[in-house]
Amino acid sequence: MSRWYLFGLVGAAVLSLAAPTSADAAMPHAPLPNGQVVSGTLQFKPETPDPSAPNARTPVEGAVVEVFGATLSIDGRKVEELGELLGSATSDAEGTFVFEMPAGAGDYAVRLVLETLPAGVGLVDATKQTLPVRLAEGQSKAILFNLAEGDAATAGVPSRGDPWYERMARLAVNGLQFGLIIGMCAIGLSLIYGTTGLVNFAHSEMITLGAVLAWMFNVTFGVPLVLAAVLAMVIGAGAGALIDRGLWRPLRKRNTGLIAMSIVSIGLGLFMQYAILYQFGDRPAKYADYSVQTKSISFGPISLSPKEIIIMVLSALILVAVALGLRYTRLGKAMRAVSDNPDLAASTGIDVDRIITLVWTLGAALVTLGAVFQGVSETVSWTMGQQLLLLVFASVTLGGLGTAFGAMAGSIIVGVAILTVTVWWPSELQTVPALFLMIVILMVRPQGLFGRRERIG
Amino acid sequence: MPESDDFVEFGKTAGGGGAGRVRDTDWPNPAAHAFDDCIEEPGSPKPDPILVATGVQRHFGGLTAVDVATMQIQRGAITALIGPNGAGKTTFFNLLSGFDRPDQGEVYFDGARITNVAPHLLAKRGMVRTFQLTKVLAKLSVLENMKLAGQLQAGESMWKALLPPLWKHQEKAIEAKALEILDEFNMVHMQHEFAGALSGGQRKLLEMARSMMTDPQVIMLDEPMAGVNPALTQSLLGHVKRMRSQGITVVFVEHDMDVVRDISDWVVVMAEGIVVAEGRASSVGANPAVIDAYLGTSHAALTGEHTA
Amino acid sequence: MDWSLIISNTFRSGITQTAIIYILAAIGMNLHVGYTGLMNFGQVGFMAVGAYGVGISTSYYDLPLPVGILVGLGCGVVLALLLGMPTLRLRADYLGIVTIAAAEIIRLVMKYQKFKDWSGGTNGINGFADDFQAWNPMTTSAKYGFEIGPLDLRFTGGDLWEMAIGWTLVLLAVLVMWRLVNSPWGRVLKSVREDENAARAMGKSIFRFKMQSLMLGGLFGTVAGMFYAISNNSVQPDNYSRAFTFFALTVAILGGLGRVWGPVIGGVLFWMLLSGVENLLKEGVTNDHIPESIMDGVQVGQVRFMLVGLGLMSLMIFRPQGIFGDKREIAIDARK
Repeated sequence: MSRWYLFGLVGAAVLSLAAPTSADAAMPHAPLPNGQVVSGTLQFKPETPDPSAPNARTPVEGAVVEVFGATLSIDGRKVEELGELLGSATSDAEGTFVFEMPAGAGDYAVRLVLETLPAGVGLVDATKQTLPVRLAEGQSKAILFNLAEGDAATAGVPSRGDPWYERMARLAVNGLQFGLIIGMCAIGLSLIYGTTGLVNFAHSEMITLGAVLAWMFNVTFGVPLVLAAVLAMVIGAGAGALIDRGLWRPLRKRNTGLIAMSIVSIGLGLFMQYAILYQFGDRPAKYADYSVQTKSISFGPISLSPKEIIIMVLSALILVAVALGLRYTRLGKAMRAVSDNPDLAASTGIDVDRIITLVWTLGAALVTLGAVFQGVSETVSWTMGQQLLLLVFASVTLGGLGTAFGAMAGSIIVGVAILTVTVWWPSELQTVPALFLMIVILMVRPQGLFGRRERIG
Repeated sequence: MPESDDFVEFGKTAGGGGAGRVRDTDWPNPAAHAFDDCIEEPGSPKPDPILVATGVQRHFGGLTAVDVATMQIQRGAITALIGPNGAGKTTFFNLLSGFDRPDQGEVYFDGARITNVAPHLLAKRGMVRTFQLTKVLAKLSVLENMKLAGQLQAGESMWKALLPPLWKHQEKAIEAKALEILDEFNMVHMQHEFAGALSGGQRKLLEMARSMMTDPQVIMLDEPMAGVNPALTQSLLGHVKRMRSQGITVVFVEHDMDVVRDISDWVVVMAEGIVVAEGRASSVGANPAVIDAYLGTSHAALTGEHTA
Repeated sequence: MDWSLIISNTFRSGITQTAIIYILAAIGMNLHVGYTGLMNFGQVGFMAVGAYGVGISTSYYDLPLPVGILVGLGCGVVLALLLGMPTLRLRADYLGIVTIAAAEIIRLVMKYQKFKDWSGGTNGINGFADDFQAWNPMTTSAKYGFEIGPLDLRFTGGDLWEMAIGWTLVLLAVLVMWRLVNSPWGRVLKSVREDENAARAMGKSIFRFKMQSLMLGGLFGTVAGMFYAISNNSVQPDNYSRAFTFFALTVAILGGLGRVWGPVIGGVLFWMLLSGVENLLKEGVTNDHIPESIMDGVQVGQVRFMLVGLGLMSLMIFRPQGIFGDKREIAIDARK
């Protein structure tokens, strides 16, 4: 394959960056008009570059970009369905197009009209002809179309034309990945519930914290992401232990009721969420590494990028390790014993408080890693925990509150289910079937799929 | 119903903490001869059973917690349910009182099938229970605890609650009845205390008094004497006998054999979920099956060497 | 620093429409959490169905506003049934999870762009409650009121009308609550809060009482949502996010759970505190008493939320009985 292709546009990848560097660099041209806009620069590196300026890019003038209302996947990363055409914009002599968006938050899609490109110029990835845009209130975004000249450009085949079972298979694999990530986040919640009875509504902020910590190391301090993730895990785990020692343990000692504890967790979550917003800002961001991977590996109709494969393999390995650890190690057995019956566990000589702190530590470490995976596969934002929380709750309830195995199984079921239903169901409303599933399970089997029936009295 | 003045030997101190010993003559036993013709064996038929369980089974996972082929409880008598720890007594209690559902089998109350009937409906029909860990309503006053137990209250309808004239009259009657019962239990002076401020023994008393508010036919007491000091135990025993003298059937779970011998007319012994023996309190301790069941665990308790 | 502005804004926040909305919602949460021990963390869902019930029926079905209000109330009842049926028989925490999720789903469905011909999508619904101001006996744009020293208590006729109706609703709600919680019905609710099984053993149908409590408390939320929608003459989906529920919960706890006047006192105090802090910070930022590097204008709003979170935590930990509450009467602290 020819190496002579380059990205059409510098800049803000799919979503604009919170990093001080990129968003400005993406807009070297005239200042933006007031209000919310979607904009970008269409340019490509010529097949035979000018030797004096090997990195120079040729702007594409007169190419048309159409903007649609759209239904996006829950993460805003995929266009599930195009809505009505809102209008179009044409690129100027510098390749720049600007389209003023309706005010307020919304989901849109931007489509490049391939026929308006100069001959020989096309998209690097034909499936990226239509890009998703999720705007928050007052937000503007830069759009990147990967253009190239010659061999590197392929003709566009719209993915919606695939037979439903192929899309279903693709979605199932994406769902598996999503489910594994949810699983990483769910184990902590479930074990904490099992050992302390606390429904921790601040769990969502543990997710956000983990992803943001890794982002801080990775982007602000320039640490490679793998190392940043490890650092974030250490700090996240420490934070978990600290929160348990500093807050929950004293409350348990005072015999604080469970409703009161849940309310404290709501307060903690609210505080953490806005503290993160204060520090991190409201713009979603990408990690510096692994954000854009153009190569993909195909398995029949399913093509996966290397990072997706790595995320799935790693999280599956970790979940299996946790499951084995819970079943066969002393510590794991102690955790399950406390989860089963704290009083009984205490009477057999287990230091219940220590186990609970360890559960918090382990749970927080797993959440952090899950959050980093989520950040890699999508974006890091101050609301990512809140967006995941409902699905984590649904998974944990589905599998049986308090059981780690249930949490894992529930997560994978929820992940696969909510993505595969988007074949027929609008992805904006992805959480609806998950909640529905949860309620049905609660009605027919309140202890969850894998929980045990409770004893009364 | 006896006047409270007849009851002075229980003392007027905190919740009847008095130490007076109750003589059977104080509260005549209407069931004294009810068991004369009964055979002392598991599932033995009673002349006038009010509560009958047949083929009741309850499993937890692979464990069979309760497997009772037949058991009958005589009307108007005091029946004790005893057995070593883990014998399934409390689980069986839950099954009888509707707080748990049997996987198999039927329960009859006063001739009517009550399997799977919700517990609050059983309470309305006249079957009331207490709990091993007392369940007083801590943030309600003693009097409110009592008034709560009044049945068929018009003011418990959300709509009628908005219009006090529809329920004030009944409320007064319930309050009068509550005070009457509190008086029998020597608790009138603490009617305005929060129930949460009471001692363990006083809570047991309150729970019993509260149960009486429902005009029960059967009262089921789950370890009524557990954690109660010996002085108050005597008082509680007196109350139980008084209930019997009023025609109420009493079923209770107990560990303390002294207590069982003192007040029960009939004893049912459970072990590993099964009824292993039935009989009079005086003779059941000598039953080999019972000794077997208890051996190694609390043999001493049965032979009376147990000290509380 | 413009002290007159800070003082006036602070005081006004405690009595204007926003405070009223939160007080109404918190009265409902007080009935749920404070009196019945129901973990309803999705009160905003009830608000949303009320607001959308009235908004949709008046603007897409051309029903008159009073009928729209009835539709809104009906929606609240239906939501309570839908939420309560599967969850009220289960452990308390499931209700918390299901309500929080249901409220979020209502918001997502209402926001869903494809339904915009039915619910307004991301733009919401606007201008359906003109009738409300048409009934105003005062002149909508004229200013009424007076100033006391630095305190500016002048409101437009439109605001005053809304405040009058709002406070009337609050007083009615308090009256209903006072009557109910001091009745045998209220006694059963408290017993459910203290110990379900004890109440059950006393012959009370726990499910019925929980359902009635969920419904009535939800209806207070529905009224709050309708008041929000009608006074703004607009419904915006993103206004009905879960932070709203948490604020209302803070209001209820601040005033003292399980106390009839708690939410009212809590609501007034909450908004005066919040607005006082916000106005102080804002003035500090504009007048450069607070350097840009620490906080800018946008971050003032975020600090406000952080303070609410901290406040909610500290209240629950250090004063669970609320600011003026009696420690012995804490509604939920010692609950196991």
